[in-house]
Amino acid sequence: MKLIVLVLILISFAASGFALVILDHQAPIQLTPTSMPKLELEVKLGFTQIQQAYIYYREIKTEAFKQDRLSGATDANPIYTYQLPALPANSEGYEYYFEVVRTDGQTQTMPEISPLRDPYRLMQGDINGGNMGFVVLSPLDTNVNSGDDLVLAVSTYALGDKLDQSSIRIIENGVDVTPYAEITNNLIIYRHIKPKSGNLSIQITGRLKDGSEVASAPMRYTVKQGAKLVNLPFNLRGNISFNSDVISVSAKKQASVSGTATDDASTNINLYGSQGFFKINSKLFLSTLESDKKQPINRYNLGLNLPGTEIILGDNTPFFSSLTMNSTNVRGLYAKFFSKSFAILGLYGQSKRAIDGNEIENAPVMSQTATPGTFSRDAAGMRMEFGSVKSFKWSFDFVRSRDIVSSLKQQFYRYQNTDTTFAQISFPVDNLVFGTDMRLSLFRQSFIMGLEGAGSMYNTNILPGPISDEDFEDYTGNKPPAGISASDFQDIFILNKNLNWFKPSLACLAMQGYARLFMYKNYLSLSYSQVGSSFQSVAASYLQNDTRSINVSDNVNIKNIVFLDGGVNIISDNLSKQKAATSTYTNWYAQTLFRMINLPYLRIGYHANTGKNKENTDINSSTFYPMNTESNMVDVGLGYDFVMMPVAPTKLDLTYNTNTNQDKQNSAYELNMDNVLLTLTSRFQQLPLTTRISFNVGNQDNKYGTITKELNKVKNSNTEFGLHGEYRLLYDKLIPYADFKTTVLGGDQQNQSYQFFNVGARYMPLEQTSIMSSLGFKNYANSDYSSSNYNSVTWNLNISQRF
Amino acid sequence: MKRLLIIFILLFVLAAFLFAENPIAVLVKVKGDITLLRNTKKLSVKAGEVLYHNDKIQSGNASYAALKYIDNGAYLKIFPNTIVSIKIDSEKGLAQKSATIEKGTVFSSINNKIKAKYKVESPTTVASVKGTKYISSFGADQIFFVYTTEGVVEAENLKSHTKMDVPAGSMLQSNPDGSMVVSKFSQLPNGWDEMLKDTEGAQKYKIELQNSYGVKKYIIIETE
Repeated sequence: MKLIVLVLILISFAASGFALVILDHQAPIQLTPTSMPKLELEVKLGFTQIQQAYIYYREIKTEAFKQDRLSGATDANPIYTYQLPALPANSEGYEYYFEVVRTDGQTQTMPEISPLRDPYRLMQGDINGGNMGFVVLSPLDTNVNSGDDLVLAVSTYALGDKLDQSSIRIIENGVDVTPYAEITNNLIIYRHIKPKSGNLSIQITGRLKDGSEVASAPMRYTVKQGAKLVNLPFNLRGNISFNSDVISVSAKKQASVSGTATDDASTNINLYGSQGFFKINSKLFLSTLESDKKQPINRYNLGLNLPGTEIILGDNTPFFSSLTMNSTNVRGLYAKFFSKSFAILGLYGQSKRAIDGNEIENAPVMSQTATPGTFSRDAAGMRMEFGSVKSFKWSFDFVRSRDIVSSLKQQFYRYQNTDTTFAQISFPVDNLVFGTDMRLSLFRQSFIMGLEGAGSMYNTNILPGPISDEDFEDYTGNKPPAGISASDFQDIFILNKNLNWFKPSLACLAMQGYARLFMYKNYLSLSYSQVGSSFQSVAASYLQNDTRSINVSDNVNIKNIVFLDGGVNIISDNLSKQKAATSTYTNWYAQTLFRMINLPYLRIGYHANTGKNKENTDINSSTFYPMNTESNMVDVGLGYDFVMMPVAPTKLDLTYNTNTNQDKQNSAYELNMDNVLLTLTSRFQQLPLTTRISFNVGNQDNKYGTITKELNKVKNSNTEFGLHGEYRLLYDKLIPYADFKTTVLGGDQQNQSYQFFNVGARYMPLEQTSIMSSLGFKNYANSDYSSSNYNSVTWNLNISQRF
Repeated sequence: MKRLLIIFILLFVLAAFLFAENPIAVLVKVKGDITLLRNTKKLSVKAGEVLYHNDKIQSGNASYAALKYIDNGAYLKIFPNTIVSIKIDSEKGLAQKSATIEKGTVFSSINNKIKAKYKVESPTTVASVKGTKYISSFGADQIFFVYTTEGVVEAENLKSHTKMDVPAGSMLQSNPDGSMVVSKFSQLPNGWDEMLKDTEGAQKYKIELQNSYGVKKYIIIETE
């Protein structure tokens, strides 16, 4: 499905002339506490068109997505990586999606369709052996006084020699505390010196020498305030990191160096402090890419937590509901006051900064002198929640977003025509959204269902200000109600002729219903949503007007041996019946993985996408163009870990996929693609060396044109070969590595080749300190058009320190 | 036969050597003046201290410690003014645990889910069990006492080689002259009840219920 969507995006973006970014993400099949996979978002095309990349993730069963920044991608190696936090012991897994902000200000998500309703899911797998191998000897009580040390003693005697001691990890409240533990034969001792009052959850994980994973059951302790009143020191932890990329490009004038690669440096500081019930957290991200010509990249905030109170000053990405406010950064003040069964949230700040347009030099007098700018936008919201997320919760919220007219110079939103009239080129808006949502959780949140609804008022142009009483009478034929004028409400909302009033009709409403059932490692998710043609919520992302969407998906894990994942997503538009045609897109997928320890694994996936439309006979229009497109993809993967190989046990992965895309209605195109990828990962036994060899061959067979399709055949191919090696020195403290990748494009396209060469090292002189540096070389050669050749060198330095 | 004997001895030595290398227990509770005697060295300890084969623990006045063996097969609480050494020997692949009292008193709680033997020794007597709870005490008068609170303890006087079972609610007195006496007890002596209050597996709550005919029944809740 991903490839199909990529192709569709490619076609649509190429046709529309927008910046082209193609993303790819291979979702890991599952996670365990011992192997938190590093998520990778690969930019297949248009890396330099990306301004920022983010991940949004949440634990399954929770509501709000958390936002975090992706990093690690360079022009030579355009793969963003993200390490999800260690999964809390009692959690079922994560749901996540990616968002990239392009340099043209637009956003793209991955998955592309309904990321909020159908995000990627990464489920906690069963762990072989359960907790049988880990026996807790101490503490004897689950209650610990805050003045005493928590001494955890766990025996691994039952596992004997089968346990790989180097694989042991101790996770406390999601943080890896292994370095602080004493691990001897058969015994693990971990001391938490004078823990602060609260709850602690500790889990021990490890790997047996046969490769299977084991973990203890979560050990939960309650740390109670000791009888003695002790003045505890202020507890402060956090991390600080610095990253820089220095890029040098050597290119001929005609060369199209994919985008505008520029040097950048950034620093990121996260601080968490606490003293008793008082908690504080702060985030600071500063980048040299920050510019007043773009929306903010820098992020900074200060958060305070007191019992029943949460206050954030600065940047924040609040999640009210999927229909009213989500995935929108607001710089301002956010406050939440809550008890067990009631919460009130308030928000005020700026969600967009003003950006001037571009001055047009030597423009004729009395004519357009600038291109449109962007108004700054204020956001204010309030939400009240009654009940508990663990049982039943009913919430009400409203969000108002208003563009500030005074934030932009007049020349960037209107110009004077030669006939002394004015033409407006940028339109400040006013938007009020009010919604309600209910959520019911049963069986310890194994079953969750919810309903959301929202209405909106949207003023598409507030520049004229509130309508005058005279204009109101002219416009409506009625006098304004006695003593009431539109200007009386201008602080709340601008009422004028450009307003899309809220009317109690489906066109003005957005609705969503969902149900999620999590039982016996089976995660079933159903959702239905529809967004009316007049509904508008500028603070909520990913809402497409005049559409309805149905999502059904199911993930099943059968004893960690069989994984089944399937779903269907149907999106249809023209709910208002105002368009000449109603289009329906149906995507469905089914994939399965068979995996048994010490045996080969097999993965089979099938993805189908159809797009059809139907004429709306209620409208007499000559613009109906029938559509019937179809895409299919089959994906087969096979792998085996040859642990018996004497020198270097090697894991082999072989993937084949075939993909067809067809315009069945008009026969305008027919694309067929095949791809084979072979990867060999070897772990040398006598040397601390790991190598990876990958080989990828792809063929594309394109036929296009309704009449001369056979003549317009294009056959292209791409071949890619990659090598990676890393050597672990000084007890894994120093890991130098090297990557080489060469890509050759051939066939009917221009003969081109890319070579990437990366050398770098990760050095961890202290447990909490990491220094990484790499030097990447990229070479592009076009044998048919040598003037477009170029080379680039990227030096990356990353230093991070936890404390 | 000689070869077999040599192999057996070698295996025994090897097993002892293996356990000597590996931890065999951990101190899970330390209160007051507790000293670890290891290879003639005196070490101060705290909870979480890893114990090895033949380690000796000494408790002072108003002090106590508790330890657990590595296989979770036995919990040992060392009462005040006690010296006890611990060891594990491997027999048929099982960790056979023992504690030797030089002086003082220990409480033992045996996990009957673990298939291995456990015994408390003194110079005069050995008390061995498979799944029970009992107090063993050995004093300067060389008299060894066993108070069984649950299950059955088998005691052997090493001088007379007399063996006697000590069922729950009974106490045994093993004398240096080889004689042994078993009798019932209604209450633990020397305030040992207090010592067992915060001891794993030793707390029991009895709830009395009475129906309309005056018949009394009890619910006993035992905390682990």
